[in-house]
Amino acid sequence: MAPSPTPPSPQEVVVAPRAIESFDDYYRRDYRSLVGLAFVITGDHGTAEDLVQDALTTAHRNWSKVSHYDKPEAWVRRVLVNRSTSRFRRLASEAKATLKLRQEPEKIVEPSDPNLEVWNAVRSLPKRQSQVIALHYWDDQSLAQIADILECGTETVKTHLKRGRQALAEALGENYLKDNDEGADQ
Amino acid sequence: MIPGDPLDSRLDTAAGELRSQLGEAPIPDFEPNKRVAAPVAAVVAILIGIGVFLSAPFSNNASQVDVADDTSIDAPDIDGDSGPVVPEPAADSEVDSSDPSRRTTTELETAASDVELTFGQDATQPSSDRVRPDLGQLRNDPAYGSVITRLTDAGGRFSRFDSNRRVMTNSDNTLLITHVDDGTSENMSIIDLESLEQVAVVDRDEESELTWHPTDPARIRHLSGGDANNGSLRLLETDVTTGETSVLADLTDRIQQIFPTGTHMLSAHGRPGDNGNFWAWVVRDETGAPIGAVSYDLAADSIIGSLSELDPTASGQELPAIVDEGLVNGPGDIESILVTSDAKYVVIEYAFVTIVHDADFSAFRAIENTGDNADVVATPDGTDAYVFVNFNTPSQNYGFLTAVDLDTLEQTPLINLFDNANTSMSVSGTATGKPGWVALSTFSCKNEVGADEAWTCNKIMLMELGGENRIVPLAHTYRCSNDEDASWFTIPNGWTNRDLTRVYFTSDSGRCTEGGEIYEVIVPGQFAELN
Repeated sequence: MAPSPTPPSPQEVVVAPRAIESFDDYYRRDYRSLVGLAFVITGDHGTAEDLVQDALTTAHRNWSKVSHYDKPEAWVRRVLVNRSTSRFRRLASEAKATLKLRQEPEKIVEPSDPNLEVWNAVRSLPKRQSQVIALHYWDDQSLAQIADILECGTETVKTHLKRGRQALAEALGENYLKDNDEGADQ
Repeated sequence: MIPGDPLDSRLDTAAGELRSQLGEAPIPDFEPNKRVAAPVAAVVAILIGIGVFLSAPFSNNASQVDVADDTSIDAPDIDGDSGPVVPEPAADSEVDSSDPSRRTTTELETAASDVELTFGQDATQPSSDRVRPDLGQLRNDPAYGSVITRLTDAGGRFSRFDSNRRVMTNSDNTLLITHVDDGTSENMSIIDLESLEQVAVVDRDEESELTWHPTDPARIRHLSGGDANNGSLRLLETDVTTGETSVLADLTDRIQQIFPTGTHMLSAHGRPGDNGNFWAWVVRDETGAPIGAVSYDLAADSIIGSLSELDPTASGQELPAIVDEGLVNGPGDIESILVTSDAKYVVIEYAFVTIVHDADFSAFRAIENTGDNADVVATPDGTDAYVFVNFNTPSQNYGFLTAVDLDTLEQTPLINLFDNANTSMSVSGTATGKPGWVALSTFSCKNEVGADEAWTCNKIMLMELGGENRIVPLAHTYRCSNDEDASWFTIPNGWTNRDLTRVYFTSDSGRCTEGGEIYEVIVPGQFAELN
């Protein structure tokens, strides 16, 4: 085994500047994840692509600044999530009104694709819970990262995640009710 | 993640399969301008006939509408105790002929002058053989005799409007703004209400919040866009006769002194006060996050107040228990900002709570958890009300269309929607010239299969606030009745012009497509005589 090189003295440590990613490279790297996140949030592929286009257009316009952020992808996700709520304001109002007017909430329709049932259940959660679940499970974001994206505290994220998991478990059936509080602490 | 946890496993599986599907899809080339509209000049196309509507009226080639004489009724049942009074519809009331090339106000009002009003919770069923009327053809509603015209054609996708809270006709009822999607692109078109021809295209999207000038029929006030890509902190005005757009108020510096990161603003389906001067907007940053709200008086060119803390619980003010319960997730995003017609109050609908603020944001009170498809309404005694369907539990008015006095917060239940078909309902308080009346449009009924429709179902009607709470049904919407197939783009979203002589709504005429088209109901002449 070759001897370890002598570590540099503190004065000699040079932190290489973080490589600034071009917008095109970022776009290629993150596009599919963003579309997936937008799909999980909205449930419609066309709407998801439009949302991603909007978010990436905003990023493109501000790339000289955004590219220097520690986590440009977090900033783009913040734009996407905020934009989705604006779009929801228009497109989801009917569905929300319809659902709320039913005295006995209808069970989620069983779609042919079993995964759709999962994503439909996620979308039926209160907005922040839905966003936290989507970011955590689809996007593999940590609680701290989600807090950064949603501009809130980690404890708030944890609360949303816990409540979202409880509601999801109830929606998906009794097999999922077991110990579902634990995930919020991960 | 929890190893072995069934919920985590289910979510992981779903995420994995979605990744597989997305991994196979090609990544499109980035097109930075794909959805970014709103060039500097707002009006890009002045098509035909512009200017004519401001001078002499169009010649009248239309024939008179044949409203049958046998639609007379007894005196209206204004106390509501003896059931609805219904005119006998004429057998041929759907086949009136008219030249669609011109519709004059005189012709329309003459046609509507003999229509008898119906009062009460009437369950007359919609016609089973009614067909989609030709564009511009005047019809009589089979149940209520009201004169109705289809004003737009869906074309490639739809030609509709987006809100029950905005008056989309101009101050002299000659022009209509419609949101057009031809299948490849969207625009906001200006339709001449006599010829029904498109006279201008405003290259803005619906989030530019086009709002007619309160008195000048040629001017539209609007924002530059609805997001960080095309929005701004400026209020603009466009003259549709010339296509010129000017800056009515540039609030950039003033708003950024309050909210340094603010980039654009929206009322989000709200509207200004009735004089067109008092506005309120939510201010958003470049990521689209709401960071505050401002109220603004255009006449004085002055910001009246601002709201920097969007979480009402942070003020330390004690909230009603029901609202506390609704705030377990925080107030949520701002859904819309409404200004009362007298500019006394600003009502903010958050995702989880509805708050009424003084116009300068110096004080606030919680109304309820949520209110959907609701509106603010002026009452005859000069007070303001917020009318909404109360979905909140526990609440004594759960399931009721409810009016809230914004001075006292006293609630008045109006209609029990859980007592018939659990219909969904939109409220419009745009008739500011006829205080005390709202337009209600209903959709998504939950009737049993094969059962008659409940009295609320798929209908446009007027309702009195206060007094005897009279209900005046005007027409059925004939929207796709199968809730599974009905499109969001065909929700009626009924609204009225300011003086409540016209009511407008969207329908697909039962085709169960996205093809929302705009219909106009002439409010029967008798209505103006009601106290």
